Amino acid sequence: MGTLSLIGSAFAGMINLMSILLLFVGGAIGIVFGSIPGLSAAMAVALFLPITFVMQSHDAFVLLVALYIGGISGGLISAILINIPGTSSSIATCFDGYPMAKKGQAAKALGTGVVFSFIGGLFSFLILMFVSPLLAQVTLQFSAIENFAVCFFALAMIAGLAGDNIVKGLLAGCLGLGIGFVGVAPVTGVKRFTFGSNNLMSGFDILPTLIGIFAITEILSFAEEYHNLSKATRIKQNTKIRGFGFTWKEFVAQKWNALRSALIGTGIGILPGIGGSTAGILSYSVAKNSSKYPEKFGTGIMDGVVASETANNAVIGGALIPLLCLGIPGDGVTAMLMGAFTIHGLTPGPLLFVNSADLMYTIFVACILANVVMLILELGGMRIFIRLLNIPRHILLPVIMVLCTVGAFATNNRIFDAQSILFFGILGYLMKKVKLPSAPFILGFILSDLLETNLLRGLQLTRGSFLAFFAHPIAAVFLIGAVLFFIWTIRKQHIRNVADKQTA
Amino acid sequence: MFVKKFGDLITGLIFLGLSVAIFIASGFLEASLMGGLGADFMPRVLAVVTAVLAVIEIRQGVITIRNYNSGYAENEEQNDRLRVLLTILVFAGFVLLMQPLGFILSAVIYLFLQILILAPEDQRKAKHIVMYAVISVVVSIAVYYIFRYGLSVMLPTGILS
Repeated sequence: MGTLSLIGSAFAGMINLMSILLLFVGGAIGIVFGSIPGLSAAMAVALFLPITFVMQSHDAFVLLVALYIGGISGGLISAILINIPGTSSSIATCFDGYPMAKKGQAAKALGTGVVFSFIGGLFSFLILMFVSPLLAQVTLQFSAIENFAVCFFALAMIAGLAGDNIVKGLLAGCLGLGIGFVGVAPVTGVKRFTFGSNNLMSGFDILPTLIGIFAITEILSFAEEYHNLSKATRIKQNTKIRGFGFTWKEFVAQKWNALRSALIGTGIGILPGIGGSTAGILSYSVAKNSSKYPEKFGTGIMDGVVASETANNAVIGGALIPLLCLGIPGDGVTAMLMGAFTIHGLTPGPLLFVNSADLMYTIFVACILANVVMLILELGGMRIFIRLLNIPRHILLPVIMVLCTVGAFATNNRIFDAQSILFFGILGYLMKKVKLPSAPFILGFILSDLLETNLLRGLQLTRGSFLAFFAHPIAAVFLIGAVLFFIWTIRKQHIRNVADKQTA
Repeated sequence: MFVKKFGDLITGLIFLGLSVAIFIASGFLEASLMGGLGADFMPRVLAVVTAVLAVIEIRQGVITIRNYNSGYAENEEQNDRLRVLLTILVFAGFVLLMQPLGFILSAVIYLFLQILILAPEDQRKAKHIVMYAVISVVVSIAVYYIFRYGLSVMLPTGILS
């Protein structure tokens, strides 16, 4: 029973000036990135990842976790005040948050969003803290065969939930897998698709790829769409929050809504590839359908804000579970955290609980504390964050471009990585133009290597027989589950397409 | 608009071409020394899957073209597309010139041009331009020194060294 003492020492490890400073700095920067449309939590983490090279792993993860949590919750500020979600996680917060603000209840909406973000986050972190060590004990027994099956399952999930168009989602995933093949092939060590370039020997680095796809693409899109965006950034609202902005009675009335939303968020977070935006919207629609007064949704009631914000923050703890227990990231930000583990010489996955248990519990505790810091910063510093929303983006974005480039360069201290973000930026922009979603691409890219390595190793274990994989019960469940899920998604999509045609 | 009408078809065709290229290129990879499946196996599987998906996408593309009804105003978009193209160009210049010119010089030039490209028309007067120039210089130098001395990232010094 070392768990409690590990938690205790992790808390003790956070009581120093550096850690507290990193929590506040990370949280504040995360909120700024989250609240400014066009900047995201993924971008904040991408930007700061290179800086963590020179930090100790403890400090590095404290900073990254604070950025992540701040970035997800910051989106509610612009969603409520200017009806533009600061990040895609906060899309559903606009539905009732903005109408509330229009009715003059901005402070109440913000208070609700912040407090229930905190509750959603806390709920998922407690689940993370107590479930993942147990799950890790199971996944620790996994051989290459089970790992392959889990990767395959993750791939099927991503493909299915990529967006409205399954074919496009799958194609984007294929592109990611294909780009992941570049470099020295796993197991066999054969040089593959390097076009004779030494720079491509180790393949494309994950960090420049992510920076290119997320950050550079975003800026190119801004250059194209800024007519629409620049008009909508005037804010005049009374944002002074007294207490939390709502009464105790109103708070208690939301308890079931909050619990249900937290469960939805955590559950969606665990499944790879779905992410905060889906969680928020799904939770909102469930809250609406099970409400006694569904007609009031969208007119500016607390319930809508509670559903969306509780769920999207609960995604964070959920998303960390597959990363820590299986070494499989579920979205862009956890993919970058995976990069952070590698930078610090750690392999994400269940072995972490054996080799670096102290770091694991530091991450859990940092999550909880960063959540508290988020609550303090957003309730106390709302006015400052709102002012930051007014920084002209034609100045802000170029500066961020420069920082992204430096970040990519710092990955390996070579100019090639800085140049490859240009390639991925243009690729991401073109993909956006033809509506190929970026999330399946990124996950395909990351899973590529894991999938191939585990497949080839697994086949070595079974002497080349793929059917023998099904003799392993866990692997069989995941493989069959992946196929069933895949068929189910395609069927569902087909039904929806037919329905669309009938209404059109 | 061109992309809206032909986007699906072009996407399908590009992916079909890509899958054929990957399939052929896989044949030229060295065989594994250890026997068993080699480095060509996964790319080949991927190529086949991609080809199937690409064909479905091409079919979708044909439907899109058939159902497309034009009638969009295109004037404003011309301007916006130019802005994207210029952004790509100056950014390409930045990353390509970073080594020879050094980080500070290339970043100053890039920042200044990029801000000008993105700035709205009413914010391109002389006083704004001076401000942009000052921001470009200050940010570039600050980033360079923070990363070089604070974080030991050896950004290229180029001709200023």
